[in-house]
Amino acid sequence: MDLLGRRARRKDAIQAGGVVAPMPGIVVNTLVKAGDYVEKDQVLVVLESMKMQMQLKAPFTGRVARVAAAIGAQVEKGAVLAQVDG
Amino acid sequence: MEMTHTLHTRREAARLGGGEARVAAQHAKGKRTARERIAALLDPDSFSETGMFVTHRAAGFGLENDHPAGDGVVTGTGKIEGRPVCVFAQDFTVLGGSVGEAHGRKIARLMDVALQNGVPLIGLNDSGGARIQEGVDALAAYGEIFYRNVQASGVIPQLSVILGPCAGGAVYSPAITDFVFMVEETAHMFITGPDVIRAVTREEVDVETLGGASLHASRSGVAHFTAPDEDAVFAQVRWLLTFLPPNNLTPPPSIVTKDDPHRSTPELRNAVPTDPRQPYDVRAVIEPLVDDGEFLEIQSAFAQNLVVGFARLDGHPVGIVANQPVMLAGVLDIDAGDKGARFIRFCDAFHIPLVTLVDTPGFLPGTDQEHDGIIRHGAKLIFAYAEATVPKVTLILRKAYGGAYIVMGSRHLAGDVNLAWPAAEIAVMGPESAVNVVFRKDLVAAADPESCRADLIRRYREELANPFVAASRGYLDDVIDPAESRARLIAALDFLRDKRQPTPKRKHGNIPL
Repeated sequence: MDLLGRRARRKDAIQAGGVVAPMPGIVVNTLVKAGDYVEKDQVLVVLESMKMQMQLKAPFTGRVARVAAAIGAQVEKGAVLAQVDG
Repeated sequence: MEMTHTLHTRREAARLGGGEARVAAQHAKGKRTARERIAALLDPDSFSETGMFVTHRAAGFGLENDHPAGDGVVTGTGKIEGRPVCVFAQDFTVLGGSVGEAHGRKIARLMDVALQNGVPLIGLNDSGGARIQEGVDALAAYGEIFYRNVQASGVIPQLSVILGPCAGGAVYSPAITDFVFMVEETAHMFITGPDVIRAVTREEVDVETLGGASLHASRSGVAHFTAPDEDAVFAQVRWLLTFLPPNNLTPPPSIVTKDDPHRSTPELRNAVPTDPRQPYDVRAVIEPLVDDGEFLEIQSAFAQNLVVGFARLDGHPVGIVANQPVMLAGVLDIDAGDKGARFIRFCDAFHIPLVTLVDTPGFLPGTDQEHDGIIRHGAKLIFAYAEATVPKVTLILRKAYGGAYIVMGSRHLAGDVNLAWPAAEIAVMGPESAVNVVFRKDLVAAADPESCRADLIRRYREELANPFVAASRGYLDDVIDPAESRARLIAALDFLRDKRQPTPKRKHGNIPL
């Protein structure tokens, strides 16, 4: 049931404009700052996990409300790394 | 003359289904009637209906006064792209498409015909479930259908198209079949519906969240294909059937292609980033390889870290299994194990050769995966590859580490032709991890640990993590230029066309489930 809750929360976060870590990893780069205008699918954060650098993209076009990810930070699966407001 | 008149009157009555009001209600929901759907799915004028005049023999609860011709399901034979199929379509306008004794017998009879004649079976599902008034006869009907689904599994392709509600025990017939299609918004599948869930657990959930097409396409993996409307779903059914043989004794349908089998694929030299940390979409490798770039991906929204689907090489259907580095780094996990193994077993049952493209860092670490059973789910992939006797051709694009190297169609699981690109890294683990494990003490003692580490990593790549070590052992048949990939895959499959591999006599293996 906890897993269900976590997955549901992750889905809600994405629908609300959250850029969410798909798996645990280390934030290697953040390419935007709060207030930036971003296009849908623009790369916002680069997360390294399993020795692969994953590009995490804007879920839709809008303005970056906040960037929660610090470069070098270890983050959990499901962590909201940035927030985009449509 | 009068007898002919009676026939036409009876046919007219049957074709009206549940009557104009119910047909209008069906149309208002964006759904079509059973016969309209069959006409949309099959080649024009190819349908021969059987059992149009079948009626139930139930009595009680008002059924004794209502004997609709056909009993809520339309059955018959027809053609798709000129090839025979057996099709049934539940008619929601007649008794809610509910399954009773006669309804079930019609479907069971059609399944017997399909199996006996080696013809694919397509079910168009739109039913309220078991016909309550018929009691245990309704349950018997489902059981008879399930039994035939299982008997036909691996003998004829079975496709289930969900075009409305499919609830309770009814879901298990589609679940046993090879491919499940769902229409977005109108199709729903669940064992227990929102009302029961509310009564039992007080949980509030709507049908779409509980068992809609997008849920089953992405999360549960129950649906293989979804589309926004019925026509789009039927187009997917017709497309899928172009890759499939009608039965397990007939080779898959080959076509004459204009795409040159010797076509060079120089674009693949740059398709995979040399930096092993950079992801890419493996479909950008698949499309240049296959005929005309035509690739029918299956379960495209489920376990996206493993891509599976059908394509053709020199006109012959192949099943492609490929790690997807752009999703979860291309790891193997529980869902990827289930998805891959089921696809491989389908291909094996129907003589569709397997082409495996490898680029994976390994199995996904973590307590979630371990506790949910990655051991037994990952084992399915090994079982499926090792069990498959169809031609198996594997191409390592980049990373093939640890257990994942063994799993992904390696020579050791009886891969027939195993190839790698020059940048392939094949070893027990990646260079960084390996150096940390093997030289932990040396690194601690080193005057300059970082330069020592860099030197060891370089040596590890040169001495172990490259394709030539595997090639020197004969585990790889060749290391190839990406530009010659298409030609080499086609040559390998051409040579393997008549492969025959005897297997030990046994009832069946025991795949970990």
